[in-house]
Amino acid sequence: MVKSSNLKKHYNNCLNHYKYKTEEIVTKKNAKKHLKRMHRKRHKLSFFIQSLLNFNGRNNGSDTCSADTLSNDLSPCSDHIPKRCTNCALGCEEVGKLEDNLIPIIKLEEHQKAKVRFIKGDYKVIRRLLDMGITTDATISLIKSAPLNGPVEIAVRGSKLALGREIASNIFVELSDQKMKVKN
Amino acid sequence: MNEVADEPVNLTIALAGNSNVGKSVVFNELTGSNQIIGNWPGKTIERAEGKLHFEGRDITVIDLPGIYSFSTFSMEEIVSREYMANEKPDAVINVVDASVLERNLFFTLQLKEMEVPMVLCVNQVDVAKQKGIMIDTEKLQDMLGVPVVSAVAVRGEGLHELMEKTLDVAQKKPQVKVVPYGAEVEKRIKILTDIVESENLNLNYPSRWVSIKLLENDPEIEKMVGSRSESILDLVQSLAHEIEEIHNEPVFSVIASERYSLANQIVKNTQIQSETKLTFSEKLDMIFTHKVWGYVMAAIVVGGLLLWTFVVGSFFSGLLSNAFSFFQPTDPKVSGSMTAILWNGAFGGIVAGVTLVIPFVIPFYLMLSAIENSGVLTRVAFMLDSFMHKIGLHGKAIIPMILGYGCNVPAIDSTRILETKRERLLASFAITFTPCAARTIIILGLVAAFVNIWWALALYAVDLLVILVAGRMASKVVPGESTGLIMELSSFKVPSLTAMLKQTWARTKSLIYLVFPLYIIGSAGIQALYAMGVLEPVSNALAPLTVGWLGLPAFAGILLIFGVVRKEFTLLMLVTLVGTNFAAFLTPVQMIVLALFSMLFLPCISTIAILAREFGWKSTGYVSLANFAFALVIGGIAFRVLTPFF
Repeated sequence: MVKSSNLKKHYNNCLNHYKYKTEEIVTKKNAKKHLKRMHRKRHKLSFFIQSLLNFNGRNNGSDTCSADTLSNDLSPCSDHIPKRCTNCALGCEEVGKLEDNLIPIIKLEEHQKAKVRFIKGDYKVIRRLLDMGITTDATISLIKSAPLNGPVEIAVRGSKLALGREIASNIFVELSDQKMKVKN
Repeated sequence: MNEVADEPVNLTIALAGNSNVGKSVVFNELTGSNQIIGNWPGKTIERAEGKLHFEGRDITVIDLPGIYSFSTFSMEEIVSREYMANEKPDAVINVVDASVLERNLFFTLQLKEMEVPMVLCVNQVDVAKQKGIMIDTEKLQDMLGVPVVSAVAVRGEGLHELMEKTLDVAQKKPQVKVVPYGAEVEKRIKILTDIVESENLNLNYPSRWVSIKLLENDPEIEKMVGSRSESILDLVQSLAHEIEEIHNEPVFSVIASERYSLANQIVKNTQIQSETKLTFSEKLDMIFTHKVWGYVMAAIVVGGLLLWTFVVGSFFSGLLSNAFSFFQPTDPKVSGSMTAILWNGAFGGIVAGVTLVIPFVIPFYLMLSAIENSGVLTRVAFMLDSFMHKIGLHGKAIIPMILGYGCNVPAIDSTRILETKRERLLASFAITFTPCAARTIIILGLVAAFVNIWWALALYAVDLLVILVAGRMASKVVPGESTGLIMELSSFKVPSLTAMLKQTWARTKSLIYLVFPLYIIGSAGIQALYAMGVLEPVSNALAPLTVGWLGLPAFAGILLIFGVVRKEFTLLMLVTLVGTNFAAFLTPVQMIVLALFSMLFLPCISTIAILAREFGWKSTGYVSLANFAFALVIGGIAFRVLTPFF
């Protein structure tokens, strides 16, 4: 078992590491949120290292930490994506290819049409989106964006769907007219 | 019993399709009143079964739950595919919505992969026509290779032809034509199918379907196949890897995309879309999701539903209780022989059920099913999504929470529409704070009648605040994952009256089965305990709380204990103890505090029972404890804050 004080020390180390690596942590609130997320992830990783890999070394905590930072570097939902994956601590998945010209659905204007190119997020959510017709070649249009950071209503394949803000901000699209410009 | 027919063959047909395509309407039209609504064996997914006599044959019709896909992400999907595989219906009618053909065909293609004899019923062609959509059913029949019938189920149009074709398919069981995927994927499916076939795995599912599911990474099928042959899984791994290399995407996404592009191709060839003006449904949609009017409409819908329930409910409740008291007084009886007390308690339980649950809950469910079936409720969920996020839930959770205003028990039952266990628990926790019909009666009978209506409304406002605060706190401590909102906003329609009545009856019936036994046993039992004098000491022990902290009279302890059995019993007990003129025994502040406290303090026995069934005793304990803590804090504060005002 890893002592909690031991782990705490490593969080601090890792937090510094994070601070250095990303500029995302600017506000205190943000840092707190981050730490919480890390805490959960570390816990799972250390459990994995200890019981599944049967590894009971003394540096368990720091191993967990470095494994975590390593996995963060390699993780498909890190750096190169415009916005960091927020709701996929477990089972994160992505489909399609991310390019610079893509924007999330929530940035569309009402009644603007676009083609879905890239989706990231929880595995189950992605599967559900695919079932509902949001595949990586589907044409969608934004019908309405609810106020107060509410969900969006989109039209896809003749049906209308309500998508939560968070899910919609992880679906990236290419504007149809933009593509025309490139062709010309 | 009809053995006159020369060939008494019984057939079973199943109705399958997406949600909101009019499957239940087709089902109701086909089976009339011969229906049984129950659960799937061992699972709490509704199963509707009906009988139909057609061309000399007895046909059993099963209405499967509405699903979008045959994966394993919801119980409905698992139940449906297991049904197809294990019970092998003679024919399946796939009901599709003519105006959303492409999305519906995505499911049709998967149904074809299950290799069941099927007929396609293109429903709601009239609505589609209004939207400028025409479908060439003959071409659709050619492309899909299954019989296609167009229908308007609400008016019964096309259903006779549908049954003729279904009967034909059920008897001949024609081979279902395979729909090929893209060359790279199809090649690998073939390889895998051959292996699955040669291994003779003895599965109930068709080999090709099993192969596709294996490539799609379906956990159930993987487990099933893995237990019989490990080596296949290795092959699946390498084949899946090859596909991923070619397409640069996970296999499940490749397969979904290809299914949709097939559906898209079929639609392009069979559907003519002409430009139309905005339909009435679309205009309504613009109001219901408008950034200002949307909230106004949401408030009108929820408020109107509750107001309707109160007005209609109290009218019928009054009528019924007058009728009952004509036979026997139902005030709690606390002295006399034990049998008399037990009988009085049990009878009181029945009366309370009949006079309370039925008059309030039936109009509530009736109106709710109108709101639900018309498509209004999904718009309310859409508008309130961001509020629900504050308590760790998403918009869809508003549906069970509104149900909670009728009775908490079926409301907690209906949290199954939410995706994860965490969300179900959070929603159920919030539901325990929503004042059900019984608690409404306390508020109306005590505060609205003896203080004034504004204080009664204020209690509702306080309650909303409590839900927000308690829900927010719970969302911080309840572990597990939450998902976001993914919900179809199907077009508005006039709900069918028969469907509404059937839904209302099914809900009321299950409530009666669930609640009545507990009502009767509980109220008889607690009344007996009271008569034996067991409750008196308990009530005295509670005095520091009731008298000291809440400022209530000493007898309030007994009221509250009775209130755990059935919330409205608090009021009935009060009548027994002090008569109907409460004002002589309770100050306005005491009435408000008593109503507030009994609204919040503990879930009733039936609610506790269903919480325990869904989440286990530990979670139920925490929920009850949290309820109690909130009630204590708010009740105590209310007593101290309100006293100077009166």
